[in-house]
Amino acid sequence: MFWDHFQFWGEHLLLVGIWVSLALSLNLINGSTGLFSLGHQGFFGVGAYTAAMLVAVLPEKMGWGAPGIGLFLLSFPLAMLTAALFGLLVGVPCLRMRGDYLAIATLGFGEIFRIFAINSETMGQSRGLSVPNVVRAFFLDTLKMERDDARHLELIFYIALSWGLSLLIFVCMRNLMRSAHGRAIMAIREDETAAELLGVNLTRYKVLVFVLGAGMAGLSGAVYAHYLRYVVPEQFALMQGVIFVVIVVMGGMGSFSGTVIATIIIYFIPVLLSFSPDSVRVPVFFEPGRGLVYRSPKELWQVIFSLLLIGMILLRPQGIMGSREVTFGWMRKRAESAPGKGGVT
Amino acid sequence: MSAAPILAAEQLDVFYGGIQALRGVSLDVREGELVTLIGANGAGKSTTLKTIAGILAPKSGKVRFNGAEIQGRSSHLILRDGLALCPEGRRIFPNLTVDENLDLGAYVRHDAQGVKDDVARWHATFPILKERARQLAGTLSGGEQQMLAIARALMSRPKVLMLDEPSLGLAPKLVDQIFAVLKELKGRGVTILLVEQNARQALEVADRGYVLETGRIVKHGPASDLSGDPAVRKAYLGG
Ligand SMILES: Nc1ncnc2c1ncn2[C@@H]1O[C@H](COP(=O)(O)OP(=O)(O)O)[C@@H](O)[C@H]1O
Ligand SMILES: [Mg+2]
Repeated sequence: MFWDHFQFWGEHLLLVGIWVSLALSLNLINGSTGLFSLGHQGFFGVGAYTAAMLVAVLPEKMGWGAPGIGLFLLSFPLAMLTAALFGLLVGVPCLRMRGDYLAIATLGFGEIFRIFAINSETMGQSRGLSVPNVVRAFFLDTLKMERDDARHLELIFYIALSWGLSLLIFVCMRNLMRSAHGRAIMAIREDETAAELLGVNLTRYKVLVFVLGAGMAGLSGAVYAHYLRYVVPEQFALMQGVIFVVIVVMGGMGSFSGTVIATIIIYFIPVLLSFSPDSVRVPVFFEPGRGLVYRSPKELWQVIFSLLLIGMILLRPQGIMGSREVTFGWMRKRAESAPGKGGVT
Repeated sequence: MSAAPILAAEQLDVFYGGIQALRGVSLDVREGELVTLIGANGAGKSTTLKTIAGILAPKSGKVRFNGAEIQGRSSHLILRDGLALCPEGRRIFPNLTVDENLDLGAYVRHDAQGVKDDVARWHATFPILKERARQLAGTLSGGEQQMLAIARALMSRPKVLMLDEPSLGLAPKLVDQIFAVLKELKGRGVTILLVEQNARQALEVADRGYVLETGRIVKHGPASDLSGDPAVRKAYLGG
């Protein structure tokens, strides 16, 4: 019984961890630096396909037999490097120019990548690739575990991996943004001409941030591919990227804690909606001749998503956190001022 | 006064698309001087400073700074050479604190202690910046923001400081304050190229001046001569 619940919630916990890691790296690009990438799902996809091909395609082509744990471990740095390399190829030409070429270039890149995958034999076309379960095999064959233990440990391993990655990205980003480089990056977001007049090399920082963000997205992609054990082009469609752009805007541009909060909200709305019993129907629109049309809340995810976005723009255009962070000092202040309103003059 | 100017623009032609904004503009600044460039709105004053600072590239002409030709170089490199521009409209970073703005001014420096000393120095010059050190710069008044912009530009310890209309949009009392600061900086030996619409006060503090009209330098000379020139008086000093 416990393990059934754990399997269900654990998987959500894991996936939300991957989402958080992906949103954090996009927040560095779009939030902290003020660039506008619409292709983050593409770099995520490059990482996912790199990892998948390394364990699913390469050993088969080379006749190595089943992939071992070594190849599995190698797939993470390789996914990161490949995504970063694509980031460099897309970023350098358009970040050297003034103006918003990046949005168009990244939009194009994401779609080209997806269409390329649909047409590539090696990448499995629209069927995608299925990825062997290297971790499970390692638990069963090398560590001689029981089947159920291996299954549970595998999930725990991936939860730790996805949240560990998120934590790693969070800490790296925070340290980066607190350094002199971070100050320069914030200056670029605020006013790039003023920043350049103070000696900040715009191209260098923009490329650095973009390549770093792309590389991290690749790393998230590798975790995703290994856990889900399949990759298909549709996982990396434009709409996925748009959702992450919305998350970054919702969280507050440049606020890493805001990004985490917004990711969790956006991820869990459809999950919670899926619990609504089939008998529950809500009226959604009026059609002349038919009267009110009812739908299950399960189908209303996109409506709620849009309403949330509109509400956000009206009530809190700076995002949940603005550009601030949740800190211990901030939480203390909240706690102190919460009990009573007295004493404030 | 040293013979060779530290900064010189020679025959600058600058275009916005097909429209020519500068026509053969030449000017020079020697070490320790305060030179002002005056002219009506739209004359091309900002364009001149932006071209010297590397934000715009001239179609033809040269900019010499400290013995090297710098036209066409990126502005971040020109700043590193020691030529700073405090741009029109202040352009402080509103969501960063006053001190973070000052630290960014010293972005190209790596002498932590020297930077600290300079922050203390500009805090002393502009006490309001010390008072508001940890406040977001966007919450400062217009005059305070201008003080911050000037102090920020000085944090890189430039050899030459260019200022684009530091008195723009400020109340008369604050304008006086800004000009007092410029006088003080000049007293400390800072070399300044000052762009102003407020010609009267600019000519009062300057050693020499240039008059720009629709993209051309029409007059130049010692500031006192320009203040006495009937045509300049009529056009820029209100008779
Ligand atoms: N970005 C621009 N695009 C096109 N024309 C411009 C631009 N900036 C300035 N100009 C034009 O160039 C001329 C000089 O402008 P500017 O240097 O800003 O004048 P000033 O600083 O003396 O008021 C004006 O006619 C102005 O309209
Ligand atoms: Mg101007």
